Amino acid sequence: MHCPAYFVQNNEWIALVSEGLANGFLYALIAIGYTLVYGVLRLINFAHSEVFMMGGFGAYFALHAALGDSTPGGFLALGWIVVGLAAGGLAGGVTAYGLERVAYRPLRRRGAPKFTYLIAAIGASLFLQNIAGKEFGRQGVFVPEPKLVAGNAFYLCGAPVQQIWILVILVSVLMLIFADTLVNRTKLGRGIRAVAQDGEVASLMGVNIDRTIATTFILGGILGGAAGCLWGMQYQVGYQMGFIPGLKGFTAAVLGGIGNLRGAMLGGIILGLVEAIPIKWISTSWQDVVAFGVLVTVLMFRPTGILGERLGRVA
Amino acid sequence: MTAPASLEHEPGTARSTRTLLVDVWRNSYARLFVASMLAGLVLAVMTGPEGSATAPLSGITGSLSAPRVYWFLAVGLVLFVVRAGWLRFGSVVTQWTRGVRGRMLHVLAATPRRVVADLALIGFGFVYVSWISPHDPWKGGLCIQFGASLLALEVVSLALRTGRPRVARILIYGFVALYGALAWLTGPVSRYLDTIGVVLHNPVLGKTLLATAGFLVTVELLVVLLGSLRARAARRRGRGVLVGLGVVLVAYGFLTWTSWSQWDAKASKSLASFLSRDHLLVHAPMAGVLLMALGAALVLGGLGWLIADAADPDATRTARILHRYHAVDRAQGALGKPALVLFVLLLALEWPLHMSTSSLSNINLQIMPYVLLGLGLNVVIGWAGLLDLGYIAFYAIGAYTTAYFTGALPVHPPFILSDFWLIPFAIAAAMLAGVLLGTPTLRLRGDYLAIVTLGFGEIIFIFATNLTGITGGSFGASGIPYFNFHVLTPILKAGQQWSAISYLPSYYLLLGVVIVSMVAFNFLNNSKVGRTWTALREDEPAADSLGINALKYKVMAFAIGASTGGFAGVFVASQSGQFLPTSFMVQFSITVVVVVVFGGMGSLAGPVIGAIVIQGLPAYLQQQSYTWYNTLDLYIYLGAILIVMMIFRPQGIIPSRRRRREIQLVESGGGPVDDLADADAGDVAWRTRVFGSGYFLGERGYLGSETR
Amino acid sequence: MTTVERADAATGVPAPALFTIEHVTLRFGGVTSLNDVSITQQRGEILAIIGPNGAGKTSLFNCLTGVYRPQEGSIHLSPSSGKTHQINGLKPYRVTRLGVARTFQTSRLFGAMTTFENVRVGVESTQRTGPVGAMLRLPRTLEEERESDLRTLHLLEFVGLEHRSGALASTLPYGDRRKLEIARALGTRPEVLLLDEPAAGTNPAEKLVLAELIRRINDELGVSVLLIEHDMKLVMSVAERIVVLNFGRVIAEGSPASIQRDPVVIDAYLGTSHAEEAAGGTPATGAPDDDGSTGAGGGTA
Repeated sequence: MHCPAYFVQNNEWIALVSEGLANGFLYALIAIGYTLVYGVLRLINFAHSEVFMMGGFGAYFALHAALGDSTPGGFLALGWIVVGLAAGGLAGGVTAYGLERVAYRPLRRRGAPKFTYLIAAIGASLFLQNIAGKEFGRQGVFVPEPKLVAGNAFYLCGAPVQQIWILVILVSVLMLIFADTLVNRTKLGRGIRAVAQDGEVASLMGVNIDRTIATTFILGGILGGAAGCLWGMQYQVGYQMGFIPGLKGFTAAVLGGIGNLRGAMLGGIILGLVEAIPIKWISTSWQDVVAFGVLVTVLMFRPTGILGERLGRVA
Repeated sequence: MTAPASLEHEPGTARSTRTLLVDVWRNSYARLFVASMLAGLVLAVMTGPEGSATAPLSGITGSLSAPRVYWFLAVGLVLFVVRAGWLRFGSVVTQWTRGVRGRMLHVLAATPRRVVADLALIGFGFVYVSWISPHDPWKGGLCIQFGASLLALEVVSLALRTGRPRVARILIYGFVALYGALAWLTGPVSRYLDTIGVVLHNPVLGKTLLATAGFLVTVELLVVLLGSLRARAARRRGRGVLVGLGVVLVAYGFLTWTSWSQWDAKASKSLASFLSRDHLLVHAPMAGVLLMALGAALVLGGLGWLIADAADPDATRTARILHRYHAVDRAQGALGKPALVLFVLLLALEWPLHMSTSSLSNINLQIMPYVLLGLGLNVVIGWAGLLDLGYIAFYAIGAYTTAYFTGALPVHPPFILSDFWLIPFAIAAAMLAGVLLGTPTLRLRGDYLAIVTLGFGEIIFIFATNLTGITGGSFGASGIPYFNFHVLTPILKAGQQWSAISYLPSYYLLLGVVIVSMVAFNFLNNSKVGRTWTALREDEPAADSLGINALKYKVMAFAIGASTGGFAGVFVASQSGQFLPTSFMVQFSITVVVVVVFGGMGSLAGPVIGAIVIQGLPAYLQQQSYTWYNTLDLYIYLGAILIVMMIFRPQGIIPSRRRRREIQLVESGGGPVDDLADADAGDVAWRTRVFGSGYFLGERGYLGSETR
Repeated sequence: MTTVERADAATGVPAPALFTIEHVTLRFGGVTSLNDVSITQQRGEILAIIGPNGAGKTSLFNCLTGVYRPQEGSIHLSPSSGKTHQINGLKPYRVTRLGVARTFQTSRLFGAMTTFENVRVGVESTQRTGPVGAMLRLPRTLEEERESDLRTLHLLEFVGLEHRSGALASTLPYGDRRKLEIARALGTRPEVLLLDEPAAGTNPAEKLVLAELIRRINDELGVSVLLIEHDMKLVMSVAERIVVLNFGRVIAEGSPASIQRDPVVIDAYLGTSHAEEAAGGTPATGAPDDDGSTGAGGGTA
């Protein structure tokens, strides 16, 4: 393959961009959870980062139980990845539903003030995170990696491009398309959008608000949980893994315009790239500071995000 | 845009078996039962053994194993019974206690809790004196004494509040006579009673009654006196002087008095005995009591001025209306409350003298800093209505400023300060950080602010960990000189060597700071600034239209809140001599939020109670090293507390009146009153209408039908 | 545009107009809410702005109070201090401090505060007490507290609410809420009071009281009043001059009697084809005229 000399000399760019892209897609998956819930409830679901974490553990335990220490290769590995994603999604969805049911629904019933939601969400986050630490151990663990995704896929201008990045991007794109289609083209999605626009009218028109909200949580949870699985394959699964990616997922959602599905995807990708590129000059420990800087800047200067707010308006 | 008409439809009018089942499920106790049992199981898992990554289910199976799980199912059952009982009979109970037969009953309904508390205090005192600690009767005696005094004050203020000044006056004179007589009688008599009575088995009781009598006689005399002097006295100017004088008198009288009440074996521990040893005080029991009573009366008289007004309302209309307004505003127990405050204050002064070193160090390092942090965050969350999730950053700034100015950091300051003189620097640094963080971010909407502050807290942590050349990196700072606070040390050292000695001066310093900040914050909340915050919290555009600069007041709240956090940072850093950046992780911010939320947002006593429970209880449990309590699990409990509080009691344990009203107003759908949703006023309204009107088990105390 | 210059009775020198609104145009996206509006209000005058729904009345109010910033035109205020201030571009709280107080179409009281406290917040906004003074109870703070106590009471008596001083604002009946909102606005010591449909939702008896109150605000306190109202009876009974808006344009201006006879106005209210010719602009049926609350985020539209 022919490469311009500049890229060969500075090939860490390629690695940085591709890793940033992969992370960005993960942020996008997480961001959708925030954005959907915000769309229907006008509520930042602080505990979404724990949904992500639970997804990671779901995938880990499923694969760990099935595979032990073996690492299958070939097409079989593809199957196991699907199993891991499904387990992660399941765990995430169940957690998100439980969250809605236990922490939010009683408040909704009462028409409680908004700060109670936020505080309940913080409580739920604290609870889930630490109960996971208690039950699943406080050391980080790796999700058993099927051979397919271990190692480098190929070298681009001399820069290694890891297989896991490609997997993450592929899976994320598929899931994002799935989510987008679901929200914009199905009856279920119409319900979600109707509630997001005006719950009162939607309920008068026969939309079951409770069920729609639960579905929204579950949908966000599935995507977040799958992201947790992918994250676990790339990095580590641990009870505190959710906090930083959660914050970044939220940043991505705000960046794209919270409540806006496609905005969240766009925001995630941009954020992934923006935080990856400065690593050429600064140490990785400052990556989070960059992401946070992006969040503050966006909130200060364009709080409605790149594509603007409102879930209902995407259609 | 989609036509919503094509969305899901309700099934036809014919009710299928399934919908019937769903209805039964929704409207029966079955759901509550299952929920309670699940709660019991969750509790079992929370307190159970740990699992691990290799055996994920071992923790859960261990928690739910045979004999253990039954206990927790029983707990679930109890929860169910309590909740179901409340749902079934709660309305009856509240109806009964709120009984609206006449004004008297109505006021009585507002009183019982405190009266019950008074009675409990007396009972506790008796139990304490008789069984728990017959050799150290001080605490129990104090309890009895104040319980009785509070009770008496309660009766008087009840009469005042129901608009019966004459009754009140008769009561006051009655009490004066009664307690005066008791004072004369029981004092000498009780010396002989201890051989006769069973309950009066203790000589302290006699003294207690005597003290009570002296206390009450003076209090009530003063109240009556003030009541009649009121018209002539300058209205507000005199009050502060009166209170100040009163506090001094109380302190001095207290010391004089304790030196008398402590002549048994343990007396040497008393602060007063040290003071007297140094001939600062004489053993003057009666004088002490009287001085203290006089002081208390001055404090009470000053604060309870307006109640005194009620005994003889001013003739002019203006004063009457103003009074009516103030009476509503400061409604309940204007006499009982200051007295309770006084009691707690005395307890806080005396109790630590009888404590073990480890308890005292827990108080100094675990509880008191969190009281300060809670007080500061309460200004931000409770009053200004801003959810700050990175509050611990100010604490960090205080600590790092301390380390910097004492030369404990890799970067060196231009001049080294002693840890006492750097307090103002640290507070200023924290306040500056509050302004710097607040000015850009406080324009944001409430929920965004929460996230941004959360991120800010994390950033501070990253900075502290990674800027090794400046902050010392992940090793933190060490070698910070120990806090030498010399005011009381010579006096304390003059006595015996007790190990608690090194903690006591710092404890009193902290107590002083806590009291000063509480008083100052109380003034603040009841001033223009506090009212402006309330207005902003309720309706920002409306406040804007009154010429209120919202940003200025929000930044002000941030800075004021940061100040106590900064001080706590100084204190802890120099008290423990070292710190790690991990002390400033986000979870500690959340802990402070729990302290405030649990105690009651917007109330001053809230953070104190919150810190004692949220910080003190874990420290106590750790000290006792119970097998079922694992320190690592603390945050599980804190998380659970937050959720449970929000569902069942969002206003906290000791709610502030304003906050409670606001929550009630929002929940009744009474408008867009929501501090975090200024942009979406209309939006919140429909949500309230839709969700608020739905069915919720137990909202109105009966399980009949869906109220639409 | 005819500006009716009113000579100051004592000196004979023409006083500068209180409000001078010149060629104000306000757009929301493609919707023109105000189109080249020019209005002048004299000091001490009760001026009413009427017009059908969606005519841009509340948008105009929001421009005058700094909630919206019009794209074109200028708004000047000349308070009694003698200086002239440009208002468009200022933040709402700054405008209030210059002497412009307002009420809202749907009353926005601090529901969890008492009647007394509601007014007191308004009164205290003009005071100088800061946090330090408040925390230490400095003499000046105490003096100001006393002053605000009395002034609050005075205002409550002025609007006739002193007997409800301890009641929570959320428990007041509708008419009392209106009065309370007026008292709260008067607390800021305004030179001009902007009333946004004060009679909406009140009964005829309350309307009479309200009309009387508006006149007294003008006579006794010397505060100019700018009034938006649908209720013609109220407007005709209190206003000295009336400006009619339709589709974001001024279509008529004059004394109550002349407005009542004006065919253009009658057309606008009856909605005949005349109205469109007169207005000529895009119908401004957008959201901004709903009530003041929409202004929260629209400061820099």
